[in-house]
This record gives sequence, C-alpha cells and structure tokens, in this order.
Amino acid sequence: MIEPISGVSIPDSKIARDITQLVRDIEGDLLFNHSVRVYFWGALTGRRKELRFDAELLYAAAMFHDVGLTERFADSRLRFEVDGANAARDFLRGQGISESDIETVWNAVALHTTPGIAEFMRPEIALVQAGAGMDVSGRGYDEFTDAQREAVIAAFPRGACFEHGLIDAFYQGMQHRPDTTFGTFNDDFLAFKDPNFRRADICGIILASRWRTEPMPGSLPG
Amino acid sequence: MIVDEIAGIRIPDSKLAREVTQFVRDTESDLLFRHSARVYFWGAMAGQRRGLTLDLELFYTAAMFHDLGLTAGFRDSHLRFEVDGANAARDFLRRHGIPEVDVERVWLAIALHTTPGISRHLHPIAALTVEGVMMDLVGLGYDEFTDAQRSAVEAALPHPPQFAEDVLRALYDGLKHRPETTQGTGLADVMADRDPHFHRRDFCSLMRKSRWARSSHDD
Repeated sequence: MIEPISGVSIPDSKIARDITQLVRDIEGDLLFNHSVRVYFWGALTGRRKELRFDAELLYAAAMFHDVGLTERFADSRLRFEVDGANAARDFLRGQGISESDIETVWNAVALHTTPGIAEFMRPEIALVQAGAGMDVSGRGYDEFTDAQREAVIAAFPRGACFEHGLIDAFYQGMQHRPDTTFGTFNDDFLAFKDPNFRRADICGIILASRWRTEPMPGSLPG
Repeated sequence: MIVDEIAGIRIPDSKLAREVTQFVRDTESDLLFRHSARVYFWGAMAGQRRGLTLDLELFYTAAMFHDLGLTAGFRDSHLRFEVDGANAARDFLRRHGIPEVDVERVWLAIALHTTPGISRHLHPIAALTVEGVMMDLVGLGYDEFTDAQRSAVEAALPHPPQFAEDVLRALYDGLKHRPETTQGTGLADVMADRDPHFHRRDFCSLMRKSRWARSSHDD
C-alpha cells in the first residue's frame, strides 16, 4: 500500500483488493501500471474539480479499462472497450453492487476512447477518460502539480518507451479485429504498426451505399 | 408529419410527438427532417422484428433530434454536434416532465449515434437509433427489411437523388466551424474530404509528442 497522493489512495476494500489481484493476473506490468495511474489521475482530477465520485467505482473502471486488450479476448470480435466493460460488469455483479452503478462502470470503460462525450456523463465516466487522456497523451498535464506527477510515476512507473509499449499493446489487442476500429482513433494504431492496413473512409462508405446501387422503389419507372 | 403510419408502424399520436415533429420541422432542412423520420421508421421496424419492448415516443424523440446539432442554431457551438442534439432533446423532454432516467436514455442514444460498436449493447433506444441511421445512410441491414417495408418508406419519404452528397454537405456545414470535435471520430473523414486544410490527427504521433514524451527527453 502506497502513501496517499494529495489525499488520494486506492480504496481499502475487499472489492478493490480483488480487482487489483484479478487485473494483476491478466495484464502485464505496462497495462497494469497504466491502469493504476489512470485511477490516480482521474481521482486527483475529481478532487481538484470538487466532483462527487465513488472511488471504488472509479477504481473498478480504471483497472478494467484496458482488460479487453489482453489475450483473454484474442477471439473477440467486439470492440476491446466493450470486452473490458463486460468483464467489469461480470465481476461486479457478484459483489452486491447496484445495477445502476454497474452501468456507470460499464459506460466508463466502454466510452474511454470516445472523444467529447464522457465529460458530460457521470463523474466516474468523465474521470476515467480524463485519467486515460492524461496518462496516454498528457492531456491536462499542467493541471497536476510536479509533486503529484512525481509521486504517481514513482509508485507506478511508466518505464522506458511507454508510448511504444502501449502502441504495441493496442496493436496486439486489435490486430485480429481491425473492423472494430472503424470510426474511432484506434485505427491509427493499426496503421502505425501495419503498412498494409487501410483505414476505411466514412465518405466512401456513404457514397457507395446500397441505396445507390439498388434501384430505389420510389424511383422505379411507372 | 407528412405521414403518420408506414407499413404498420405509427408515429405516436401524442402531444409530445406532435411537438417534436413541429419543432424539428421548423428547425431542420427537408433533407435532415425526412432522414430523421426514416430513421424512426427503420428503427421501429427493426425493433418490432426483434420483439424489443420500446417506448415509441422516446424513440421518436431520439430519432427526430439525432441530427439537430447540425442546424444553424449551433454554428457557435464547439461541442460535438451529437452532444448539441442530445442536449436539445434533453431540454425538450425535461420541459415535458419526462423522468430523468428516460431523458438520459434519449441523451445517450443521440450522443452516441455516430460511435460504432457501443450502442447495440445499450438500451434499445440507443441500439435502434444507430441501426436506423446506418440503414438510412449506408444501407446497413438492408436485407433484413422486407421489400414491402422498404418500398413503403421510400414511397412516403423518398431518399432524394443526391442523398449521399447532400448528407455529406449537411455534415460538413454543421462541422466546419468546429473541426477539432471530429478528431478521433468517423466525422474526421468528412472534414478531410471537404477541407484541404484539415489535418487528421494521428493518435500515435499525439502520444509520441505528448508532454510525457517531451518531459522524459528533458531528463
């Protein structure tokens, strides 16, 4: 157990300990430490903004947010975010958590890569995305103090070349389901790693739609 | 509405639904208004086919408001257009005393209608909004509708001849003052298609040039 960082610590509950153990067992150091950092960035942001949030739900969502990238989902054809959301839901259903809270965690995990929506939803949902944005691309970097950043990194190190390690993890977790990256920024990871990957273009899809290739009933002669 | 019923699917006969129709009719172009009405019919038909329990009044509101954020009233907004439409529907439903849990469902359905692969796991209002949108825009699920259903919808609310081009223009017109809101979404393709100065953000380079990467070089 680490010292609280600006008043934030990992919840001291059986559920939180079980989550730590479960995620520890299925994720490598890179994703595990990333996930704990996402919790800290999210919780620190929540305190700074004086949001009311449930630290245990935030911890659950942060810890499960990238579980869908692991080998456990090597056969899945769902978005990795949905796999993680479902895994969190399955875990929490056995723990006496209300369906409404489970739905909050599900949404937090499922929407953590969807831009511009989560910030208008419940605090736990907004904070997982804020935490992930901070850890992955430094979004909001300057809103944390040097001491906060140093304490979190010291306890849960980024390691050398975190960015490339994470890009590799994304690629490993999604290369078998490239279609699920359409219309998201996840296709950037596939394009970065695989020179043969072709991004689908939504304009091309709309312009090639079935409505244009099939005769429209209303426009049939006679 | 131009039509109250198509192939056995009715637009709810209620004060709320009539006000939705009137409001969207007054706010949107004919193109978006008719697209939204077709989205309602496709979605309601898909829901009926799958035996889903659906509050048609709420679903009608979601379908009709889903593109409202593209209209002229939001030309100063720097939110995602989906969020503008979701907020407009929320304000409208709250004024009508709809319970907050239902308001939230409609909000999420509209907010996520361009986000792939999530809505189908949510409430039927969200799932069917995306399904209706995708059927109407790109013909996804085309074969799951009967010829009779498609013919009836097309007869009552036909796709105009240049529908695809017109939709892409309507999207661009609603997005061009806020290109940053399309980054990391499918709508970035619309910006890239129409605006030669638009630069799609690449998430990998965003990560590799982030404050973290810079700060580790400083060490």
